[in-house]
Amino acid sequence: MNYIEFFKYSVKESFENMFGEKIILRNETKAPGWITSKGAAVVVGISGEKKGRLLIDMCLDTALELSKILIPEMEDEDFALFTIAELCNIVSGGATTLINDTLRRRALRLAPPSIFAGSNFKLFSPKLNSVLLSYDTRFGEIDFHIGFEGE
Amino acid sequence: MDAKYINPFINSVSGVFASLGLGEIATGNIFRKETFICRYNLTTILGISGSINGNVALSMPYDTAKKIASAMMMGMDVTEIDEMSVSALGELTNMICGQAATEFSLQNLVAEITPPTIIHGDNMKVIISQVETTAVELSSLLGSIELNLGLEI
Repeated sequence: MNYIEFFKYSVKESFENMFGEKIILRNETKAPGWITSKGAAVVVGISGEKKGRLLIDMCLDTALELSKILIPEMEDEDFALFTIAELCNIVSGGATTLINDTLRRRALRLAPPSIFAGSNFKLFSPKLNSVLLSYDTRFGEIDFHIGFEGE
Repeated sequence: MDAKYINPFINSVSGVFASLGLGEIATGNIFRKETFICRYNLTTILGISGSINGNVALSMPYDTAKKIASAMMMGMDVTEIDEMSVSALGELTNMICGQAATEFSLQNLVAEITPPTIIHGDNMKVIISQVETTAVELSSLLGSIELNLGLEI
């Protein structure tokens, strides 16, 4: 089963519903092993029949702009990080619900999001084969790394 | 956080270290954090879902990480944090959380684990729970480790 299409659908639906903004897929490629973060990243782990994770990465400024759509007067780094954590949660929740509905069983489950921010950090997920979906938005680029074991 | 959720992780760190010949673990302070700011440069993180939901992070200095990776790779010289060394550290986190999950199952609690992610860098902010994080200071022969539990119970 190609899970990536479910994630693509969920990215578009979730982003446009949450922020009322367009998100356009610019590129789809095999993800690199090491990910050098743009500044703000969120990981949601996936367990069940297939183990994996969704990782989203963007500049902190992009996260701040997105959070200001939700509460315009709020300009707070933690709120921006919680906003993109919620985006990651909703995208992964939407995709896994679609996958579970298609398979007619509760095949995949999610862990809560973990959030990372900083000016200079790298991430690596051993044993995962990942696809990188690079999106353009009005506020900057957003990368979605979707990886599963053994795919 | 109730000790019944903390102890399985402390026990499994000790158990896994012993089984890999990495020496004994001494438990230091246990404290609550509002936000987990990384004191150390390298963090391995793994998610848990089921009766227990959350994230578990092991944070350590580069020096400790290199020594642990080297010991896990039969004494191979580890001079930098590369794919091989982080794979070893990811496997260590997998083993620790896997053993803790087995201990939880004896309490009829389901804890399914997700694949680990390794993060390293400088001055990082890490938030592993939107509730609270409980940190446990651990000392080993190979250096200091901080066990961080962000469990939504």
